[in-house]
This record gives sequence, structure tokens and C-alpha cells, in this order.
Amino acid sequence: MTARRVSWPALVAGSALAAAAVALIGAPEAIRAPLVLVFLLLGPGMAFVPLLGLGDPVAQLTVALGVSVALDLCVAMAMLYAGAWSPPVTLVVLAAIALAGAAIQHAKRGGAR
Amino acid sequence: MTLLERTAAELDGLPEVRPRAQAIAVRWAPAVAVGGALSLWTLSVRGIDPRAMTSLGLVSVLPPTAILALALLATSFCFTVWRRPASSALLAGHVVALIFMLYALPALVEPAARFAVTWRHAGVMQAILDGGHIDASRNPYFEWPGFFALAGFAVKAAGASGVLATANWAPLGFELLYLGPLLLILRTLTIDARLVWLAAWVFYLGNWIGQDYFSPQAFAYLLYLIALAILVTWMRPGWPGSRTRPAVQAALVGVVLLLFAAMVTSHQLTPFALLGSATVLVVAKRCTARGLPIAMAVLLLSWLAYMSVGFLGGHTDEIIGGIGHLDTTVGTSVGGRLRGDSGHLIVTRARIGVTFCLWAVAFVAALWLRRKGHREPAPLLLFLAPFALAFAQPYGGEILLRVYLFALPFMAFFIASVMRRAPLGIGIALSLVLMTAFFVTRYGNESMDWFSRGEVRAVDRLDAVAPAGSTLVSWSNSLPWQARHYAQHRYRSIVTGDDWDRISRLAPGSPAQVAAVARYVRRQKGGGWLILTRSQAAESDLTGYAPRGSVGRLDAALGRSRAFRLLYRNRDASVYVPVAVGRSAP
Repeated sequence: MTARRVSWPALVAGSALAAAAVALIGAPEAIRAPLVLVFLLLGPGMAFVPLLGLGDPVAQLTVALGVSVALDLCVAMAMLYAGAWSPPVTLVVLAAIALAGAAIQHAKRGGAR
Repeated sequence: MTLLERTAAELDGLPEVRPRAQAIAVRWAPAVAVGGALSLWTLSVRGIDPRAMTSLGLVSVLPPTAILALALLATSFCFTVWRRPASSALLAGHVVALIFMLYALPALVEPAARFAVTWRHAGVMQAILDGGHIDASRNPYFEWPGFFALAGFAVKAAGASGVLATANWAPLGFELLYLGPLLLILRTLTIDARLVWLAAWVFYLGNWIGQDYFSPQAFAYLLYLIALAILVTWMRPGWPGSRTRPAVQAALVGVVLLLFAAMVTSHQLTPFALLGSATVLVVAKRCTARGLPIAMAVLLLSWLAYMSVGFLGGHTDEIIGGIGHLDTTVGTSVGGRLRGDSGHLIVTRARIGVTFCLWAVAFVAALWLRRKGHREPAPLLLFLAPFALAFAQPYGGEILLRVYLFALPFMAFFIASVMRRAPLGIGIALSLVLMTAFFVTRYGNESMDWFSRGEVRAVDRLDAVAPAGSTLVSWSNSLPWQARHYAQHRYRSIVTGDDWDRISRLAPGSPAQVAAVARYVRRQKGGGWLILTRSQAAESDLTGYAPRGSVGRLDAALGRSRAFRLLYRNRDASVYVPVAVGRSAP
């Protein structure tokens, strides 16, 4: 599969929904940990970074990694300082952010077609 | 055409015409070598017994077959870089195999999470999870809680019980994550793809600092590399990336600020390094985002002023002191006070030697490249910018290690640039020298950094019996504690305590020393508990806190003394509680 043919919005949305689902139903760690960690490392970033059109996959994934972990951290810190510390809610907020980004990408792609 | 472009064109040359069978062999040999080196390495290190280590650390127990695996990988990599038109996938395979061999070694051979600070960081994370809030007035760690909040959230969301079970894999994970931004940075410094991979190779061989364990520094360094990659790829005048649309440029500035914000809440030093590098680039007109340093400074000062009041109150000692033996090793060495076991002295000298040697080679290489026509000043500026930190931060000798870390990508680029011009044999030889230096410098303290199951069990027992508010006392700092009740107990070590001057002058294990230790432990707030472990004995012997064998002699004497009651003992550890005065005499 070439980078051009990867449908990032679909992958991001799938990853966000899967991570939120396994965390909320309390799936066993062996299934839950990889799905949640992959989403946290790349999901929120890949929801938005393809909009920038940075070109090659290394550049795109690297910037997405940075955006993802920074967003994860900022949302977790916001919950902590707001006195509303809750890992599942934090994950749902991040999944919602990622779904919003994926929707924007999808809409742009549709518009371009 | 610049020197490096010329180099790439010359060295790539025209494809050679070879017979078919030979061509197939040449094509597959490196892939087979990578697979062979990896299998040989994994099989040979599995049998390593950490107890057999001498004061030289892990290098003293590496089996010959493991060394053969390293040599095989180095030879194959250099052949691939020097001799044939190589695919990036093949070069990447070599570098990833190298990362595994260098950084996953403790995970393969040690029974528990290594390095005392890893356990403390797990404890800080747990304290945040338990409390669900931040009380920055209680502990300086909580003034930079970003990384711990992120890790705590990720652990809970992933359904894991903690980080200690997988902590020995953290260095491998972080180093693999560094590869993306590192490649982006290197690709803006040369168009020679093989020089890019050679520089990555040197980066990993040179990263002996060990700041990639479960720590805010390891995380902040990832953000630092990504932010630098964005600055040099998309904001450097003249580089193709800088010609992206203004909206994309603005979004990327936003991304850098987001990364910086995450860094500011997580680590006290790295934001200064990135701010310094960005400022240098802007001043030298090598960054189009002119306002970026000002925005960064505002973010940084806001955090320091409003969130981490304690930083200005100046109680950073607990964090900085916590860097522990690295601090003592290089800090004291730089100050000229070398002491400790002879093997440890070799390690310490190797660390200083490697650091200064590589800096010098990189600097000379940078000047040489400049004379040869490589005019882009950004890599030299980014190599030199971190040195300003040495004057700006209260990190003691430790700061030189951090300077080394922040300058490392550019140092690796300069060293690789000269290596690439050398003959193949020299390339292989240099790789082997760097590998040897890596294992001596990085894992030189391993005899005190690894923990046995017995040591972990003793700490478990101590945690189970000591009530909240107790003071837990150790001889020195290397033990797997603070992970469970970080915020509930006070932790003290005798060698850094007020009575150390007196205790250190008494004969090891003598009744007078036992009495002095008893007085120190009894005086502690909330009642003191004493734990002695194999790793503390190793630390004491290595660094020369006290005459060799002092901890063992003290342990034996405490077992006989009526001033202490033995609560728990196994092969590697003992836990004591002092008997109240009046009920017994020492």
C-alpha cells in the first residue's frame, strides 16, 4: 500500500474508536495496551497533520508523534489542574479531538474531489 | 555543488556490472548479517549473570559471541554504507538492529527495573495517580508534573498496573522514537542518504548518557528533537521546506509552541536548551519565525512564575541531587576529585575522555567542512548553542552530560561527515572503538544500577511494615525504593545525612559505628527504618564512599547488635528497626 492510498481519516477514526472502546469496556491489558498506546502516540496528531501536506511519511509521522504526545499531555494536565482527573474521560476527550480532525480531513478531501 | 553533494555523487558512482549469482549474494549478504547478528546477540546475552559483573559493569560479562555479533553488525553496516548502492531499508535495518543491541541489553539480562531513579519516578507518577491532584509545595517534582501526568494517564488508560514491569524497555522505546526526528534533522544537513544513516549510527553509538530511562528528560528530549526538526526543515531560509504556504508555516509555528508548552510543564532544563537553539537560529537569520523565541520565553516564564513557585524558592536540590551517581561520577571528576574502585575509575575516565574527544573531533570536523565549502551555519550553531547552558543552569557537573545530549545530533553529523571520507577499514575500526566505548561508559555503573528480586522483595517488605509518615533510611541511594509510597514517607541515606562525617570516620562495623548509625536512625521523624542492600554495597564500593566491604561489615554487626531488631533478611538485603533507647544497650 503506498502512502498516497492510505486513508488517514479512516485509520485515525478507527484507532480512536477502538482505543476508547477497549478502555471503557475494560478489555484485558494484552488487547487494550497496544490499541490505546498506538492511538496516544499517533492518533491525535495524524488527525490534523495530513492537512498540512508535509509530503513524505517520515516527516508526517514525526510531526504527528510530537503533536499527539503534546496534546495527550495537555489534555491530561488540564484534567489534573481542573480537579477532574479521570483517565477514561481524558481518553474520550482525545478520541473526540481525533474524530473531529478526521472529519475535517474527510470533508477537505471530499471538497477537493 | 557543495562538498557533500559532490561526495554523494562520487561515492554512489555508476552501478557495477556483476555476474548474477554474485549480485544476489552481495544484495542479500547484509540482510543475512543483520539477522545473524541479532540472533547471535540475543542468544548470547540471555545467559549473562549480572552477579558476575566486576566494577567495569556489563562489559565485563559480555560473552565473546556477543562481541562477535556487534563486530558482524558494524562490518556489515560499514560495507553497506561504503561499498554498494544501498537501499534505505537495509541501512535502516542495521541502525534499528544496533539500537536493539545497545539499548535493550538490560531488559534481556536483568530481573527487575534498573536504576534507582526509575523507581522514584514510578513513585512520583503513582503519587499523582493516588492523589489525583498536584501539590507543588510538597515536592519539586510536582512543579514539573507534565510527563508524570501523561505517563499516569497512559498507564491507566492502557489498563496496566504500573510502569516498573516494562521500564527496562523504555530506553529502546525512546531511542526508536528519536529516530524519526533525527532523520528529519540529518536530511536537512546533507543530500547524501548514506551519510544520513552513518550520522544516525554515530548518534546511537555516542548516546552513552543514559538519559533515556523512564524520565522527564527522555520525554523532553523527544520533544526537543521534533521541535528542532521542524525548525531546520520548514523554517530555514533557502531550504525547500521554507517555501510552504504561509498558513502551513503558521500551523508549524503553532506545533513548535505546543511541543514547547508540553516540555515546559515536564522538565526544568530542556526548554532552556530549545529556547537557546531557537534564539541562535533567529539571530543568525537561519529561522524565518522571528517571534518564536519571544513566544517561547513568555511561555517558559509564565510557567516558572505561576506554577512552579518553588523553582524560584530554590529547592531544586532534591531533583538535581536525585541524578545521583552520574552527578557524582562526572561532577566530581570534572572538579578533579577522582575516587573509588579502580574499575570505576577506568569507567569515569572513559566517560570524560569519550565526551571531550568526541566534542573535539566534531568541532575540528565542522571547521574542516566549512573550509571545504559546506557553508550552512545551522548545524555548527546548533552544536554550540547547548554549551551556553553550562553557564546558565545550577546543574553542577551533570550539566556537561546534558550539553552533550543536546549537542549530540549535530556532533554525530560532523563526526560522520569525516568518517564517510575515510577508507572502509577506518570506518569499521571507528565503529568498533565507539561500540567498546559505549558499553564501558553507558553500563559502567551497572553493578550498582541493577536490582535483584531479593532486593525488590526486601523493599516490598519494608513498604508493608513501615506506617505512613515514617522515615526510611538506606546507606546510599542505589536501591529500588520510593515507588509505592513516595509522598507518604521521607527517604534518607546515611552517606548524604548530617552525621556522615562522623559515621564515615568510625571503623566499618565497629560498635561505635553501629551506635552512631542507631542514633541517626532513631532521630528520624516518624521513626526510622533501615534497609541495606547488595546494590548499596556495590555503590559504596564503586564510588568509594567508604572502605571496600563497609556495608557488609555494618550489616553483620547490626545483625548481632541489640540496638537493632532484624525484620527481614534475604541473600541480598536486610531490613532493621532500631530498638527504643532504654530497652537495650548497643
